[in-house]
Amino acid sequence: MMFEKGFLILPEIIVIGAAAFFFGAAMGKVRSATILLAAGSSAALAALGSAVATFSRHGLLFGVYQIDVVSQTFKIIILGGLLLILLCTPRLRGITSAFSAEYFLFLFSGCVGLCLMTSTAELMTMILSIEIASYAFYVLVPLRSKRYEREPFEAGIKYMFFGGAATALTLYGMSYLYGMARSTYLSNLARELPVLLAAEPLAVIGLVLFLVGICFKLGLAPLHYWMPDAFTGAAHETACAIATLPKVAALCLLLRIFALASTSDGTVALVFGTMAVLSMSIGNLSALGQRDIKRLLAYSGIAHAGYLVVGMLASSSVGMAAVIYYAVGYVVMLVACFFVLYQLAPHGENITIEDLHGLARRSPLLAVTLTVAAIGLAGIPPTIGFTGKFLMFAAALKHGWYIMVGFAIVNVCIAAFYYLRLIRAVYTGVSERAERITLPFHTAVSAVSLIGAIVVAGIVPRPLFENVLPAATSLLARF
Amino acid sequence: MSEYRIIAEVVFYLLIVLTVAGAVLAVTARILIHAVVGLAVTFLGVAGFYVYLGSPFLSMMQILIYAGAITIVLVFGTMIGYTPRQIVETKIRDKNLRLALPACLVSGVVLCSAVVTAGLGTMRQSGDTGIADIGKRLLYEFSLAFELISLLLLIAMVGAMVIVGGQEERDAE
Repeated sequence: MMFEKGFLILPEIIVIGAAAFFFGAAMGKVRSATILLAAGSSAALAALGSAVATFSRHGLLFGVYQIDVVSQTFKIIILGGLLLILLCTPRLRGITSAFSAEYFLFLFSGCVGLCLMTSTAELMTMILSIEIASYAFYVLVPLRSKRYEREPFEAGIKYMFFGGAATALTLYGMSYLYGMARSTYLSNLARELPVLLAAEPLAVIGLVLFLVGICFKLGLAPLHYWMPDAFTGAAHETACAIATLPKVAALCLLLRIFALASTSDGTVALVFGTMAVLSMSIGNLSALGQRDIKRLLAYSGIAHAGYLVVGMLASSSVGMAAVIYYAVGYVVMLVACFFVLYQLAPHGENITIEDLHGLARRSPLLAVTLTVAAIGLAGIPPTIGFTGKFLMFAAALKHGWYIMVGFAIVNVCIAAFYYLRLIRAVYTGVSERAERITLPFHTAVSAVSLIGAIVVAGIVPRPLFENVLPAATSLLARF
Repeated sequence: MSEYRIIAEVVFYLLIVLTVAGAVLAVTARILIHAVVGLAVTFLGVAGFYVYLGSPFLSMMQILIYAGAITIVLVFGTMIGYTPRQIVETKIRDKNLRLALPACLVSGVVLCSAVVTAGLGTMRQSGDTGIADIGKRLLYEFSLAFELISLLLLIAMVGAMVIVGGQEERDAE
């Protein structure tokens, strides 16, 4: 009996085991990138496999830890994303080589926190798992190679202070929720919250403050200030992980809490609608003037957090499924962008739009990868970005969020401008650097698979969509 | 009203004054060590509130951990980083003040109006808060949280060591 239940947390155990292995490697000064990468990707693969295998609903440890279709779906996305990042950035170009083992240690401990986040059904455990993930990712930022003296540390400190402030607000909101509902279990909150939200203004304030920490991870305005600096300060590998994985886990928590509070109407929904509109407008308008690609991607990430909230506010199972579907697409598209940056920077230096000039002649395959990823992020068919946005906005329209969807569509048009500017730089820019970039075979395979994933999942959305639909349905029908 | 109740209320209002005064000192002091002292006073005031809220255990922990350990670490940090009498540039003036004041006012007004209109009637006292009860909860329903704290501290500690201690290795490259 005991071991049967232990089997359910196999993915977490494997990821923790991998983190312990890297801890040992750091102690023993193992710096061989090949060994570390092999260990990392096989652990991620094993964890992914076991997450697929443990697809049943169970409550563990007094109901604090819940294994269900939602948690397992999100774990698969997170672990799949981790595997993708490891395979697309195989050698740590931007990280001090003395810290390779430490880099993997913190990457994997962060993923432990993210996996725990998806399964928690109790507020204390939730905040602790958020913090485990946050601390691990805070440490990753300053591990950048010595080429950059000051920026990584500044970025790391900013990331940590903003994160700490967000956590403080979350705890403050939690104290209100606990004071009113007298329980930290989500199942009890699900019973009490809808009543409390209708009757008590303090419950609304408590819930919104509580969600601040989660919105911080998601990068939703007005909690987005850390993103541009953290991205430019961090190495490409780190930025890629920070931009994708914590967002997926935060989205899981946000969807769970939003669904259980059944706040499709009312003040909380209004607050989130405003935040979504702010997020999209601030993100897209700020991205227009950026020259550094990572900064541009950070602002585009802020805008994308807004799009995801638009889909979430539809609060139908189709809307929620569209959000999860889009999250998968976002991970793939962003990894594709960072993959190109990583290939362009042999020593992990930051890339500006000028550096992209003439890329189409230097490496046609990388140029196509970046183009496909950019038109995906812009939401132009036939990519996963278009299909996901279409499904989310359609669901929100069905719920009657006309003004918000209007804002979203205007924003998509604004965003197209700077994504297309990237593509213009790639194809029409003239550069004195004419040397060709030759890609090794496995890199070419990664590029082709990323392009394939973005396009195929956009043209044939049904398999992916139907696989995430059960999670969305169970989110809304949970307690 | 019995005289005990009067004394208790007087002490309560004194605690409020003490806490706020400490916080104001911490923010406005121009000598860093004075700010630390102000913070310590605030910690003690908050410990007093916990007694009034019916949790002497929490109050003891507050004194032990915040007023004790954390203040000592702050004093150490101040003494290592600065000479104690060194005047630090406080940035409470000008632009920061203009930004901070509205931010504080808005959040303060929103919270206060919510508390005043709704009252704290729904905030119920959460049953037993004795040490035995806390211990039992830590080992039953919060056992996972209890374990996660150790993992969190481990990650934070190793992280601090890697960032600070690893500088030599970084420089060696």
